Amino acid sequence: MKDITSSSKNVRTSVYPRKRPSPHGISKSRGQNDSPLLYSSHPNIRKSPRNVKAEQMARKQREAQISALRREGIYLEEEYREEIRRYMHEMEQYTMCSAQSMDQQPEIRWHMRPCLVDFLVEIHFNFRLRPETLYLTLNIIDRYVSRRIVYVKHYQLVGCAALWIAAKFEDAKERVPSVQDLVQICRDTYDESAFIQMEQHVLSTIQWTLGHPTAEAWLRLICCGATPEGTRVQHITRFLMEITLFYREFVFYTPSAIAQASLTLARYLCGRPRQFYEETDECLEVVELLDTRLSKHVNDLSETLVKKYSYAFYSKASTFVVQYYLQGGRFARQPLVSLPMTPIRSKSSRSSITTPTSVSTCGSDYSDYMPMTPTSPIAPSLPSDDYASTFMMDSDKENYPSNATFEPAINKQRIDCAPEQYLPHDFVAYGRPALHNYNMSSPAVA
Amino acid sequence: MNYVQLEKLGEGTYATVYKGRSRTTNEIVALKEIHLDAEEGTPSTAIREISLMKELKHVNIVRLYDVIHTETKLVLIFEYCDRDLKKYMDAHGERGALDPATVRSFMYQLLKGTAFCHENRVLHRDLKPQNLLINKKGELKIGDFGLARAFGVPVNTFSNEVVTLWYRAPDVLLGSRTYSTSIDVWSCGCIFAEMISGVPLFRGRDNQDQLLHIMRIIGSPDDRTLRKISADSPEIVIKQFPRYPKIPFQQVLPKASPQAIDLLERLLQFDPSKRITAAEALTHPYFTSSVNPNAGYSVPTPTSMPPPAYNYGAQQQQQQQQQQIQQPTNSYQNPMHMQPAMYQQMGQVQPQPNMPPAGNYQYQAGFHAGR
Repeated sequence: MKDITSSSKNVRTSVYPRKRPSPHGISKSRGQNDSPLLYSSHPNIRKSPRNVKAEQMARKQREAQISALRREGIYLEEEYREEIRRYMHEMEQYTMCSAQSMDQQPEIRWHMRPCLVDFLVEIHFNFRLRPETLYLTLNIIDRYVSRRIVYVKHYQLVGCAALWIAAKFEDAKERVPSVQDLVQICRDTYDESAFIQMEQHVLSTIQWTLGHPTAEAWLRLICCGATPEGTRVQHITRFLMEITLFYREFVFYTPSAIAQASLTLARYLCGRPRQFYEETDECLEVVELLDTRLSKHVNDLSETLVKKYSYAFYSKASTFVVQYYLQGGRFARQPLVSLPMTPIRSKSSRSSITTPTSVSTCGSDYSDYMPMTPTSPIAPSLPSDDYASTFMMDSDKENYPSNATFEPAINKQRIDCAPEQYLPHDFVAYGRPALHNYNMSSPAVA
Repeated sequence: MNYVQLEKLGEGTYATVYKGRSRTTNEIVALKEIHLDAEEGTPSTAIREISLMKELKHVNIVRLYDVIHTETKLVLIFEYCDRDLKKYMDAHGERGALDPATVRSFMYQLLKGTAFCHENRVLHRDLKPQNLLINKKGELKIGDFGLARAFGVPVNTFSNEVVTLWYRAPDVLLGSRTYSTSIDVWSCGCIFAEMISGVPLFRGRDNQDQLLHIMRIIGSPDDRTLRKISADSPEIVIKQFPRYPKIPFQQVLPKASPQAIDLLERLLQFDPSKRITAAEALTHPYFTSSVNPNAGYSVPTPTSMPPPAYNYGAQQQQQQQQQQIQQPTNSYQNPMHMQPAMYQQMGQVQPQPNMPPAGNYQYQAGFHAGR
C-alpha cells in the first residue's frame, strides 16, 4: 500500500496546481439557493474588489459552460473533478509498464506490435467498444508482457484476452464479445479454454488492477476544462493518440502526456493558437516524437487505423493528418520568446484574467465545424514508400521488419460483416493510394 | 486453500458468502465464492468488483484482502463484518428504527465511504441496507461492488438497470443514462429515512409505481424541473404524472430532528443536479453542530448509547465537551468534521486552536492506491 503522507500530497499539488475554489466551495449549479450550510466566506483571504469581480465573472462563465454541456448530456462532475484528477495521476504512475523488460522478451519483437495493435483496433471498432477499452487493452497487454514471457504463437491470445478483460471492465454487457466470437475472430487458432485460461492468467499477473486512466479519459478531462475543444480537433487528437499505441517510443510516456501532446499537435495542425502554459517538457517530447514519426513514416501508418479515422463521423481526421504530412508539413517548435504570458501561471488564474480572449476562443471552437475541403484531392502523387524508406533511420531498428514474422490470424469474413448500419459508406479512397501503393488489390470498401 | 470454510452467511445473485478462518492468522474473514461459467470466463461483475475494491481502501469500505482464482471458482476474501444494516436494524432497533445517535453515526460513515468512492471516480450504484455491513465496533462499511463502475469526467452513459428499486433515484427511474454520483446520494437519503423510521421510505412494486411512491411524499416535480431534467438527460421520456403535493418530511418521520429533516431534504431532491454531494453532506449542521437544544430528542449519554463504541462517537462526545467549554455558542462556524484536506480544498487556513485532532478519518480518508 502506498504511504500517502502530507508531503507527497504537497508535491502533487505544486505540480498540478489546484483550481482556485469558488467562494462557495463547491460549484454545482444550484441556482440562487446557495445554502447557508456552505462556507459563507473565507476569513483568511483578503480580496480586492477586482479579484472578486474577476472571480465572479470566471465562475459565471464556467457555469454557463457547464449548463451548455449539460444540455448535450455531458455531466462534468464538477465537485470531484480535482480529486479525480489527482487520483488519475497517482493511478497512471502505478499502472505504467516497462519497455526495458519488454525488450527482453525472447521471441516477440517490437515490429510485431503494430500487427497486433492493428488487429485489435479492427475488432475493437467492429464490436463498437468504448474508446477507453482500446487503451486499457494495450495497457493490460503491456503490463502482462512486462512481466511474463510470451511466445509469438500466444501473442494474439494475450491480446484477445486483454481486450476481453478491458471490454468486461469498460463496456456494457451486451457489447462484450463472447468466447465463441473470439475463437472465430482468431480463426480457431486457439480454443475456448485457451481464452479462459489466458484471461485468468492475465488478471492474476496484473493483480486485477484495471483502474488505468486512459489517454481517452485524460483527453475528455482536458477538453471539458478551461477551453473546450471543437469536435474536429478532438477527432484528430484521438487519431494521434491511437497512433501512439503502435510504437515503442511512446510506451515510456504517461497517458496524460500522450493526451496533452496529441491535443497540442492536433491544435497546431488545425491552426489553433498554441497554449504554452499546457506544454510541459514531457508533452513537447511526445509531440516531437509524433511529429517525427509522421513526417518520416506517414506511409507506414496502420491501414486499419487510417481507414477507421477517415470516416466522416471522425471528421476524416486521418485523411487530414496524412495529407498534411505528405505535403511536408511539420510541427514548428516556436521559440518560447514571444510568450504572451508567464508560463508559470496556473490555469484558473489565467482564465479569470484573460476572460475576453477565452470567451472568443471557446465561441469559435464551438462554431468551428468547417468542412476541410475534401472535395479536391490535394497532392495525389506524392512519393510514397520510397520516400519513407529513405528516411528510415537506425534508431528505428525495433520497428524494422526482420525475418521473424508475426501475423495475427484474422477471420476477415466475420469482421467485415459486422457493423453495416453503423458505418456511413463514405470512406475516402483517395487518401489511400498515396498511402499504400502496393495495396492496389485491396477490396473496395463497401 | 489458506482458509477454512465455516458456515454459510448468505447467497447473492451470483455468489455465495461463507464465513471463513485464516489458517495462518486465525482471523475471521468472509469468503465470497463465485462459480465460473465455462462460457463467459470471469464475470464482468467480478472483474469490476475486484479491481475497484482493490483501489478503495477506506475504513468505511469493506476491505478486500485476497483473491483466489481457480478453474471452477473465484473466491474473494473480505474483511468480516457481523451483520448487514438491515439485520442490525431488526436486532437493535425499535421495530427497526435506530436511536438518533446511532443514525447519526451510521449516516456519517455511510456518507464518508460514499464520498471516498466518488473522489476515486467510482459509482457504487447499489447502496441499500443489505449492502452496508456493521462490525462489532459499530463501524459501517460499504460492501458489494458488483454493480459498481468507474466513471470518467465527464461522465459517460451507463445502463439504467441499476440500484435496487426502492433505492433507485427518480432520474434513473425516468430512464436517465447520464446519471452520476447523485444516484448514490439518493440511495443514501433513502437509507437515512429508513434508519430513522425502521421501514423503507419508498416501496414501489415496479418502476412506475416506485416513481409514484416517491412523488406522493416529495411531491410531483413542477414542469420547470421536469423540463430541466429532460434537457439534462435527453434520453428521458417525460410522461404526464398525477399532481401530488409535497408532504413535509416532519410528518412522514415525526421522530427526526429538524436538522435531520433538512439534510434529508437535500439528499432527496428530485432534480439530480440539486442533490447535495456526499462530501458536502458531511459538513451539514446535522453532523457538525453539537447537541441542539431544540432537537426533538435528547442525545443519549455515552453510557446509554447502545452499540457504537465506535470511536467516532467517542471523539464526538469529547469534541462536544471541548467545544461547549470554549465556544459555547456557535459550533457551526467551526465544523469539527472538516478534514484538513477539505480546508486545503477551500483555500482556507486550517483552524488550529482549540481543536482536538479530528479523528481517525484524517489519516484514513487520504488517497490509497491499491496494491
